[in-house]
This record gives sequence, C-alpha cells and structure tokens, in this order.
Amino acid sequence: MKLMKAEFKKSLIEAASYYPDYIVGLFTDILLLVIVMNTEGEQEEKLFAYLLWVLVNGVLSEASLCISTEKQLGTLQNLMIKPYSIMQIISVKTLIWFMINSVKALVCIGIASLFIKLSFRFEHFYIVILVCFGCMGISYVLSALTLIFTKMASFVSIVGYLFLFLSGSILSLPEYLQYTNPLSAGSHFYALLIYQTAGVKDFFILLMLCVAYFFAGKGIFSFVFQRSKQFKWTY
Amino acid sequence: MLEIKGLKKRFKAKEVLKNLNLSINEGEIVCLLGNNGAGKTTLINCILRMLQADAGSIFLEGRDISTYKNEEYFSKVNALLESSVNVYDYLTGWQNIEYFSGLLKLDSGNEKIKTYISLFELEEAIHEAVGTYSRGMRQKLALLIALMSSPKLLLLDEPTLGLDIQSKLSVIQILNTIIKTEKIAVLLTSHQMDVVQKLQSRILILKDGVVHAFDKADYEDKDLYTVSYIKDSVMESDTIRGSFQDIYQSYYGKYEIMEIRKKERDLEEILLEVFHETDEG
Repeated sequence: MKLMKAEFKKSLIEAASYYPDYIVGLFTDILLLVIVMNTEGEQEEKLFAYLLWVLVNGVLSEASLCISTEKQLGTLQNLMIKPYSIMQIISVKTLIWFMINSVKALVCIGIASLFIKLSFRFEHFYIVILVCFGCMGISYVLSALTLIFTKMASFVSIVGYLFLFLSGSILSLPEYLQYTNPLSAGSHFYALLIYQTAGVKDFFILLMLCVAYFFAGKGIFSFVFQRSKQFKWTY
Repeated sequence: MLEIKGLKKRFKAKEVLKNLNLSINEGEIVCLLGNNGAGKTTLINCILRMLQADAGSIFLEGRDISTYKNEEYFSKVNALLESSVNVYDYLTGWQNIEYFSGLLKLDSGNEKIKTYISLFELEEAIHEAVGTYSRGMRQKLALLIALMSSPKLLLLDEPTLGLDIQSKLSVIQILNTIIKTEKIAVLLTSHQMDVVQKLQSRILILKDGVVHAFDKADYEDKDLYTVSYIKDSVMESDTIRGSFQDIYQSYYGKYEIMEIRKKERDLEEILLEVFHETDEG
C-alpha cells in the first residue's frame, strides 16, 4: 500500500509537470477515435475495441518506458536495491497509469460524444481489466528486453500500433487471429456479448488466455532478470 | 555483521575478484581502496545482489544473502552508488523523501527523518525542486534517504566525489556521528585520501582481486624526525633519521630546540608505495 501511495503521488506530480504531453495525447486519442468511428462496421464494437486498445497500449508501454526512463535518468540501480522488487515497482506503476489512462479515456469518450453518437456498456468493463491483466504479460517481456537493450522502448510504440490492428477497431479481425492474444480475444468476446451469442466457454477461453499470457510474461521477465545478474549491468 | 568468504567473479577472460575474503563489524567503517577497475564496484554489486558471484559466499548477520527475500534483505541493506542518480530532479527534497519512504516502507513523518533534515542542514531548501540544489545538497539528501531506513549495512561508493571542502567535511562529520550512534556497518570506497583519513575507519586495499589489510603504522618510518630549532635568531627545521635521544643530543647546546616531532608520511604517499609493492608482488 505504501508503494502504491508513493507511486501514485509521484505519477500525479509527473503528470502535472508534463501536462502538455497529456493534452496532446488526449487530442490524438480523440482524433483517432473519430477516424475509427468513421470506418465501416458495428459502432459499439469498434468503440469498445478502440477503448480497449487505448488502455492496453498504456499497459504495454508503461513498464518498459519506466525502465528505459529510469535507466536514462540513472535511477534504475537505486530502485533495484529497495525492499520492493523491480517487478513489483513496474507493476504498480503500470496499474497507476492504467487508472490515469482510464480517466483520460473517459474524458476522450466524453468529448468525442459531443460530436458523434457513441454508446458503451460500462457493465462490461471487467473485460478491459481482464485483457489488460493478460497484456501485462507482454509488457513484462518488453520490459525484460528493455532491461538488456535500452533502445527497445523506442520500438514499443510500434508494438502498440500493431495492437491497434489486432484490436479490430480499424479493420475486421480475421478469425484465425481472434485467440492469438488477449486484446483480440477481448474484442471478440465483447462482440459476442453484444450479439448475445457469448457463452461461459468463450469467457473461460478468454480468462485462460489472459492468465497464460500474464504468467508466461512474468516467468520470462524473472528468467531474463536473473540471468542478467551473471553479466555486467550497463546502467 | 558482513562476512565474505572466497568470493570469485570473472567477466570473460578477466578474473576481477579472486578468492576475496572480507568482514565488517557492527558500527565499523571500512574504506576499500583500489585503482580504477580493481573490482570495488563489482564487489558492491555482488553484495547488493545485482551481480551473481561465480563462487564464494556472502553472509549478513550470519545468514547467506541468497537466502534472504528481497524485502527482508533491502530493509537491512542500503547503498549510495556513485554510478546511480539517487534523487529525482523534478521532485522537491521533501517529495523525494516521501517517495523513497514509500519504497522503503517507512512513514515519512517520523521524527528521525525530521532530525536528519535538520542535521543535514536541509530545512530551508527541503520544499524546493532538487534540480535547483547544489551537488553537495543533492548528495546530503541522497545520504539522508539512504540512512533514514536505519540500515544495518550501508554501502557508500564515492560518497564525497565532486563535493566542495565544506560539504565534504560536513558529510564526513555526519557519517562519523550517525554510523557510530546507529551502529551501522559501512563499506565505503573513495579515491579521496583526505576523506579516508578523516573517517574513523579501517582501511583495506583491493588489488588483483584480493583484499589486503592495511595499517598505516606499518609503513611509518619510525626513525625519521623533524627538528625545529632557532639558529642565529632564524627558525629552521631539518628532517633527520636516528633515535630521538641521539637527535636531541646532537642539537642540544648548539641551537635552541623548539620541537622534535616524528615525521608522519602522507597517506597518499604510503598508498602509492603499497600499490607499487603489490604490483611487484
């Protein structure tokens, strides 16, 4: 809890210090939302897929960006000698930015709804949480790579945009990609829900996929982190 | 408190630590000296579990450090690393304290922190952004943060590097006071001999991957004296080898002797000799 409080306060100070970046981010999100909503397809499904992507993108990038930033600031070593493990620290940072990004996404939807008709079922927000939990596993893998190669963080945004396509918000997702990652599976499950064809089995598949991604990513991070202790650290 | 037995670490062809043995007691400051690349940082990284040694063991309070959980280990061990930036520029001094208190599972409002802020003379600037601090103030803040968790073992890598004389003296004084009263075991590395001399510490030399004990007295020339005397109303001084009695008798009666003092050699001068000896060895 102390870690959560400390990181939350620091993140708010950071957000206040670099607020122009967040304003630009918000406008970019609104612009993208308007583009997405003007493409062909079911509007509600696309809105959900887009919202899911906005939040997953934050989850995917936050941990590796955190490692990259701390490495560049020279503070990473100092964080690694604290009672909380580096994995706990990046997980909490990601959770906090997930909350901040959720508020940002709501503001984005609020502003966009003034200009275009939007409908969203908030009772299905649990899918977002589940998908983000699964994508945290991918985030751990990207973080592990950033630990070794600092420049990796620069490529994370490419991964983020790749996920924009995998969300199905811009293009309809081919069937064979639906269960390859938590984001595509989440979007697909939401589509089944709005067409009232979703069953317990579909939810169970999504749950298992997210759990598998999370623990596989966590395992890879731990392995890479442990393995790197045999070599000279470069930060 | 800390005991290291037979520590070995190799990076490709270079064996940096070769069967290194070392122990530090509670409340003791150990200054580890060595040339650049001698392996001081490698040793610190091994103690901090950031590097895995190839062989050997490190014990903290009699327990192998690999058996500690992260939380337990780093509530006992803290460090101020030269290679790391220890505070955030965009936060104020107080916000840094609050943030690191959270990471160290401490209550930032505790009395000890308030006492340290006063002891480190940071009261006036504590609510200002660290980016506006001088290097001395930043280092004091980083040291305060490292000390506020009351660690059992503190690793200080060049803690006074780049500080002006006043800040350096202030940091040394604070270290001497807090470490003795809090009974913290300290492993310190420095290239600044004046710092090493002023700290009430035991000196160890890290050379060729092995730690050598160092006692300045072993290198003192016991028969070398400086005699100050007045000759023709002018103060003069000579450096002479011999026994105190012989020197006294040779000057007595001829001149007015002002002082006969054993000539102490500079630590830097002695250490140069030590490093040269080990090089030859």
